[in-house]
Parts: sequence; structure tokens; C-alpha cells
Amino acid sequence: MSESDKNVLNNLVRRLGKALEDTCNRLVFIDGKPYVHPGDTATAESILTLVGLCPTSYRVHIENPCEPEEPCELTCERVIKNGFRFQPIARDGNLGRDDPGPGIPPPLARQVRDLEAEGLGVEHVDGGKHFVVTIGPVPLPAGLGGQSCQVMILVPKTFPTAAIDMFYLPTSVTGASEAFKKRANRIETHGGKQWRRVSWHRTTPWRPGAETLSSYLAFVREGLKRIA
Amino acid sequence: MTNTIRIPEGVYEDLQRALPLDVEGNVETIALGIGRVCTVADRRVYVLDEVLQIEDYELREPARVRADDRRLLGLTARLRGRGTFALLAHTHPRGPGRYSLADDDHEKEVARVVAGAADGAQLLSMLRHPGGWTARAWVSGEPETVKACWVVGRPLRQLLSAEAPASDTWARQALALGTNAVVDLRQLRVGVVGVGGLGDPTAAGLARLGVGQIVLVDPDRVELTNVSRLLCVDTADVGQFKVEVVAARLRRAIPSCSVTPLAVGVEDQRAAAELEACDVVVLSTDNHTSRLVGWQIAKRALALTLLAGTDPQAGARGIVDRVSAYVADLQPTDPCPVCQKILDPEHLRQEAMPAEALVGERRDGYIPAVAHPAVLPWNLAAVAEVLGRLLELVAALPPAPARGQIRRLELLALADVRCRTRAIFAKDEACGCGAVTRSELRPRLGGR
Repeated sequence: MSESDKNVLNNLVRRLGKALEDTCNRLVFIDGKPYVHPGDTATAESILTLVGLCPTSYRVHIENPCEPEEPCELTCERVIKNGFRFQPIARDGNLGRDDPGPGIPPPLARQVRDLEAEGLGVEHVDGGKHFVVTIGPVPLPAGLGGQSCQVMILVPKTFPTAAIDMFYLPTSVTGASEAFKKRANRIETHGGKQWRRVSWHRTTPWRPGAETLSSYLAFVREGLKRIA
Repeated sequence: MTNTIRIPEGVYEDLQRALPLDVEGNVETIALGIGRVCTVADRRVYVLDEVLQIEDYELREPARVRADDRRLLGLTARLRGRGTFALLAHTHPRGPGRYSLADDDHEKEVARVVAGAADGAQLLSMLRHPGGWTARAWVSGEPETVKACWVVGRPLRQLLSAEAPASDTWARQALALGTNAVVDLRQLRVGVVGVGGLGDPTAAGLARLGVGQIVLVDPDRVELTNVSRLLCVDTADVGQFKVEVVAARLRRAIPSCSVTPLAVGVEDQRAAAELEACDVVVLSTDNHTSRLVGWQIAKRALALTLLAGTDPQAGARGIVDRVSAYVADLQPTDPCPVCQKILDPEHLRQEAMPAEALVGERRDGYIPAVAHPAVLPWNLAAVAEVLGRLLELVAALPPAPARGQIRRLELLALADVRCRTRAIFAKDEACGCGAVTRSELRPRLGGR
């Protein structure tokens, strides 16, 4: 930005800041852009609402220019002054430890986080047109030779518009029932590991806007009961 | 660099409402807007996402109008730098249809503020006058001509007037469709995804209709089996990329048509960038995944999608006893193709599965082993429907009974083509995709 451009912009900001002096509203900068924040206390939600971003998809870092501290996350209500700076950070971005990793589509990344919030571990391997997603530990019903195991599902990259079908168990999981012998008799290699395929299919149409990894895991648990 | 504007129908209605020409006393009116810029090679496309409400701080003066500082600040705060633009539109209620010196000075100043406030953001200017619209883009502090401004809807309308081509090539077509339609087709940039049995004759038809720019996307090479159905390939072309061969034929046939061949899949970044700059995207591939990806790209760029396919069905003895071709035009604001039963989530899953899993499923009978029979006339019937639909949309050909519907043709007995239409664009609640609204199409530029 040239000096003259900066002057033009600063002029505009000054004029607006002056107009705000008599109110409890605050002139703040979000992602480097000036906004009028209604009121002198802010939350992450109030900041994100100003810029039209969804609080479930973004978190907010706050930077107080008067205090030489590192930017920190805005987690609770806080008194703000004119000139405070805020930076929205996408939860799906490659930032932070809870990021599921690059290359995973945002809808799938969100659902991975939901499963992790339920206390499950989720790993995924890129298989080209699909992801090999391993979820666990999932409790096993009696009759399958163990307390719990990892469950693998093949998730198309176009999920959730594309459907998911069947699921896979480690080859160490065995059962003596007729249903197990009939439905889990095929071994396949995915993501460099051998898996036992369980032939378990939905009887209702796939609903792209309603199906999630969590709802599919409930369907998998039902399948485990059937083959036990 | 060619500059084009794309405005969804609903946003255009907002723009018209914000810029009335019938204000008492020859008073000029001003409107601001916001949108995204797609830049590909020699083409810059301005996609207008929103016209800002103006009642509270509108400034009107006889014969001269300026953007209010506070409003301008609000607008620049919502820009996200390079790739976004601010729209400054105003009226000349009694003409003239060109910018005045005062307009030049004011827009130059605003363009500087916009570029400075949001690094690399641009200013787009539109002028409404009794003769129609005039537009220009401010790039690096200087005004550039805008050649086309499409209102994306049914029909697809061109707001800016252009000179009719001097060539006699489309003289007969002009007699049928009118000179305006010929000029509008010339301004159009159409992407064809899948240059096979449907895409090859579609591309040939588009070039011959006078479409100005065509983008061909297909990663496949010519095989011997293609020669029976692809009009632009010869036996000698076997082994060459389809898009290269077809592009060369089209350039030879219609030298004025600019053809961009891309020998990549639609998932490739280059294809996505080129298709975003297209006004219409024809999806003529043989798989659901590429159709879904192509539709998502077109929807994001607020482009019109024409989706076509043939559906041969084998009878008891394995002989095809029923063929239907289907064509649908999808607006960016229409519900998703799964709602409309055009794409199938189960097909999408099968296409994403690794070979080993598919072999197992086929053996177990979960996926039927389907051959894909194809005969030239079936494809040509579908292609005729695609081109006809494009003309209905661009030239607003009356009558257009199937506009807004999926048209399905029963084709086996070509002498007795039966046409069935099914109303679409009703959302299927079971799909759960959620209603597609204009606000969902807007990028997250911030502000309210």
C-alpha cells in the first residue's frame, strides 16, 4: 500500500473512530480490516458474527497492541478497546494440534473431530479416490473373540454426497456364528494392511445431507451385533 | 485481457431496484456491491455476489453522485484482498450512456481506496442508462473495458451490447435466431467436461453455433473404439489426447473460435480454474464423480450447468432393448443433483472404491457388471438436446416448454422419439442437502 493510499484509509478510520467516541461501540480490526464492534465486551462469537464466519468452523486470536504479549485465543468474554486486533483462524486449516491434517475435505475433517470428541481415535490414509479411515477402539459384542477393536471404513473423497457401504475388521477378529462365516469371509488389503470385510449393507437410501461418520458408526455397531 | 461480469438473476434484480432510472428530477442514484474475481490466462471474470442495501446512507445529487465515505469504509472492510472486488454502480437517468469526467475522477479515487484497503482488491464499475448498461474494470489504477455481462438465470441474458461479427459464417443462423443471439453466443465461454461420445459432437456443435471460447477437459487418449462415435477424430489419431485432436479440428473449422484443450481430469486444479471462468459448463462424462465435481465447480462460480447422458438398458438376452437420453440445465441456485435423481450416491461410492473391493463386490453380486453400449445416433439425439437447450437459454427461443425440467428421450426407435419431461428443482427432503439459497452461494467475505 502506498503512503497516499494509507493516508486516505487512515483518514476514513479516524473519522469513524471519532464518531464512536461518545458511544460504547469499539473500532476493532478483524483480519486487518476495520469493523465497528457493538459494545465494549467481545467474545469469539461476536467477532466472528461481525465478519460473517461460523463459530464452529473458526476460532479467534486476540492481539492487544498496547500490551507486548503474544496473541492468545479469545475463549471468554473480554473488555475491548478501540484498535484491538482479532484474527479468525479456520479450524480446518493446517494450524494447531487438533488439525486432522492436510488433504482431507472439510466435511470429513469436521466429522473426524466429532468422533474424536466422543473419545475415539481416528486415523486416515489417502487411497487415491477414497480414504482408508480407521476408528477405534469400538467395543465388540460377546462372541467375536475380544473386548474391542479398530473398525475400518472406505470413505469416498466425494463423501458425504457419495455413500459408504460395509465395514472392515482386523483379521484377528473371529466368530463362530453362521452370520459371521457368511458375512465376514473375505480378506482384503487396504492402506497396506489386511482387513476382514463385513458384508453389511444399508436398506434405506443414502441421505447426503444427513449421514455422518458418527451415524455410520452406529450402523456398524448394529452390524457387529448381527454377526456376533 | 478480456473482462466479463456474471450476475445471478436474484442479485441482478437487487441491482435494478437499487438503481432506478425514473427518479424525479434527473437524480442519479448509486449502489455498491461485492464479489469475487476469477482470473484465467487472458480472461478475468467478475462474479457479483451481493448488492448492498443503501437506503440509510444513500447520497443523491442532481447530475452528480458520490459514494458516501462511511459506506465505502464498510464495503472495503468486507473485501478479502486479491480475488475480490467492490462494485460501484450508478445511473445516468437521461443519458448519456458513457462515463463523465466527474465519474472518472471519483472512480479513480475509489479504486485507489479499494486497492489500498484490501491488498489487490479491484473496483468494478457499472453505469445504468436509458440505452442499457455500460461497465468497466479498474485494474492497476486504469480503466479497462468490460466486454460481456451475463445475468445467470433462465434465460441467460447479456446486458452489454457488442458489435455483430462481420463474418458470413452465421448469416443463416442470424436469420433464425436474430443478430443479438449470434453476438451473445460469440461472447460465451463454454466448458465441455468429457470429450467422448457426447462431448465431442457437443464441442463441434458449439463451435459451429458460434460460441466464442470453448474449454475442453478430458484426460483420455483416442482409442479405436472412439472412432465410431467421435466426429472430430480419425483412425490416425489413435493414441493422441482427445482434447488436442478435437481442439485442432475445431480451430481448423472455425478459426475465430478460441479452444483451450486440457488433458487432465476435472479434479485437477487447472481444470477447476479454467471452468470457473466459463459461463456455461457442459458435463458429458461417463461417470458420476466427475459430474459431481464439475457441478460443484460451476455452482461455486455461479455458472450454468448442462448435464447430459445416455442410459442404455439391456434386456433378458443381453441385448439393449431400451435407451433413454437425459439433459438437464442446472442453475447455481437449484437443489443438488442427488435431490434431482441425476447423480446417485451409490454410483459415486462404487467409482471411489479400490479395484480389489470392487472385484469382490461384483463377484458377490452387489454391483452388476454393466457394459456400456453406445451408438452414434443415441449420442447425437442427446447432443441435439444440449445444443437446443443452450439456444433456448441464450437466444430465449420460443417456445421453451422444457425449461426448468429434465427432458428424457426414449431413443431406441429413432423414428418415433418419445420425449418425457419431469419437473425438477423441487428439493427432495430425504436427500437432506438443505435448501440452496443465495446466501449460501456467497463466499465468506465477512460483514453482514
